[in-house]
Amino acid sequence: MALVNTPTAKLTFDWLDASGSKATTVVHVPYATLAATAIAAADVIVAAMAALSDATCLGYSLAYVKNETEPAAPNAGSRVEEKGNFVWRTSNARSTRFTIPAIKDSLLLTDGGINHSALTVIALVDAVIGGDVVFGAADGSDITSLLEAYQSFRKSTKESLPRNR
Amino acid sequence: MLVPQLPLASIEFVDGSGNLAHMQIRLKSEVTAASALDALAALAATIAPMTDCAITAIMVRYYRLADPRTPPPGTERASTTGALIFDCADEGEYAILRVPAINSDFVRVDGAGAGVLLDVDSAPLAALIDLLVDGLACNPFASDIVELSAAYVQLVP
Repeated sequence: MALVNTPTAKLTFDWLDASGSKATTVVHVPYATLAATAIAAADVIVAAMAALSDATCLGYSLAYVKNETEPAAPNAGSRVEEKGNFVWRTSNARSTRFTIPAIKDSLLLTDGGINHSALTVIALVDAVIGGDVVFGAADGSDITSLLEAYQSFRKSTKESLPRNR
Repeated sequence: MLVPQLPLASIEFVDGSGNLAHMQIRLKSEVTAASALDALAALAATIAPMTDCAITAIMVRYYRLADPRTPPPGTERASTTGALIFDCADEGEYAILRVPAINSDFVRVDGAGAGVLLDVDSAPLAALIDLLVDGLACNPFASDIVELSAAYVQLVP
């Protein structure tokens, strides 16, 4: 893998006008800009734009992106509708989850559960909860252990159906 | 008031039919972007052998959301934008910033360009221009913004 950053980090401001229509404003800052510095600048810029606009600012985001320059070819027949669900226990006894699309069949048990003892699953658990605490739940609590892992399927949307049909 | 939200990390996948999917996980609020991207790259490398999709990108995003939301202060439509065109430090490079629902108070009412050009001498507009010229802003290719080139009303559908 060769993940390469874009030249800039992108600030996207979201606006709402009196008719209910939405719009965005994009401002770029150099990629090496610290998030705290970029956010401080964004707070000043949004105030200056708000003074000129009849719309109200709904919020903004600051995005740092790295793109894969040499992506591997996806395996034939892989579909994002097939999900590997990973549900995690959190420090406040709640749970949080994420899904991995097109989970490999080799990780599945015969009943559709995901094998917790598979080496890649053990590595995933270590990447999520081992080392420095980086990832967390949606309420800010720590992720403490893998609770459940299983396969599921999402319904295809019209847009996700094969083009050659 | 714009309230900080927990940062969000995401990994983008593409499947055999060309469809995209995103795996998302929250980040601790105190994590720097550099640390988050390092951890996310490591997570992506761990996930790559678990999926039949290919990984195409990773992203870390910080949010601020208005809470409470305030109503729009005027009636101008969002599609009526104030377009600010800037020259950048690199030859031939430029940057665009669009302010949606530009208030008509900032549009010239007489002389050449009346009704189209923005009044760049008005204090609020001049303040925004100074922020962009003197601050961090650049164009998508990281060429620094150095000077305003044009400012006019543009209807964006």
